[in-house]
Amino acid sequence: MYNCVMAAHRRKLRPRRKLSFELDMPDEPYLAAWRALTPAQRLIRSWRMRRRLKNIQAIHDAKTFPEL
Amino acid sequence: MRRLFRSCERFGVEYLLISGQATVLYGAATFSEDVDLWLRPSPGNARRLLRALAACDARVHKLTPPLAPRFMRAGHGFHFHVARADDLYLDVMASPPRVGMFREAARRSVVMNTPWGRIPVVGIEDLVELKKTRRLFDYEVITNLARIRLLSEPSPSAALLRWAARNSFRAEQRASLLGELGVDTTVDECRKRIAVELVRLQKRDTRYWSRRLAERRRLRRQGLLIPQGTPARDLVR
Repeated sequence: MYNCVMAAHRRKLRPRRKLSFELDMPDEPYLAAWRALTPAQRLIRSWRMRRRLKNIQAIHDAKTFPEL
Repeated sequence: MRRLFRSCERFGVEYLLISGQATVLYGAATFSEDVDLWLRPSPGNARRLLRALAACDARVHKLTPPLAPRFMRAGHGFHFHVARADDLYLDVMASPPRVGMFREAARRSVVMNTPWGRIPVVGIEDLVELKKTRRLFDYEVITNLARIRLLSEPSPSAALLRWAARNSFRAEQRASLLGELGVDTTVDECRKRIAVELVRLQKRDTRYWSRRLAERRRLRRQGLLIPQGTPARDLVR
C-alpha cells in the first residue's frame, strides 16, 4: 500500500489500537482501486480525463470567480 | 506541464502544490481541471515565479492584481493561463485561508514523484483545511483525505482518530470513528451535526472570498488590475 505520509510524522508510542471496522465504504470500490495506484499514475489518468473537457476555461472560471 | 514545474525549479520558486491536484496525488479525488500553488510570500519569490511563468509564455488571466506584498498578504488569488502547458489555468495564492504560515506548512509537506517532476505537495492536514470551502463536493474529498490519513497508520492514536472524526463529513464514517473513541453517538446525530457544521464552514468561505472578490472588482474599476492577456514576461523587472 502506498504510504504518502512523511515518516517523521510517526512516533514510537505505547501500543495503539487497530480499527475495529472497515474504513472503505461498500459503495465506493473505485476509491480503494484509485488509492492503490501511485501518485504519478493517478495524475496521468486524471490529466487524461481532463483532456476530454470541452471548455476548461468555463469550468475554471465558474469555480474561481463565482457570483457570491 | 513538466515544462512549467521544471521552470519553477530552474528559477528557484518556493511553492507547494495545493487543492485539486494535491487531492488527486493523495488519492482522495480523481480529477481537477486546474493547478493551484501556494507561493512563499516574499517579493523575491514572486519575481522568481514571474520569471518561471515568462519562460512558459504564461499570460495573466482574469481579476489579477499585481503580485505585490500588499495583495499577497491580503489573501488574493493570482491567475494565469499557460496555453502551451495543456491549456492550463494556474491559480496562485501567497496567503491562503485557514492554514497559517508557509514556513510551517513547508515542513509538513511531502515531495512526490509525478510525471511533472518531483513536486512539493502540501501535507494532508493542511490540505484538509484548504478544502473547507463553500463547495459541498469538497467535503467528500476531505472525508476521503481523513480516511487516507488513517489508513497510512497501522495503529492510529486517539488524537489521530479525533482529528479524522472531526474531518469526516460522512455520518457513517464519523459515527464509526467516534465509536472507536468510546463516544456514544448515532449516525443520525452525526448527520445533524455535520449539516450544521457544513453551513458554518460554507458561510465562512463565502465571506472570505466575497470580500476579496469585491476588492478586486473595485481595483478593476480603478484600473489597478493587470489587464487580462498580459504576458508574464511584461511583468518581469
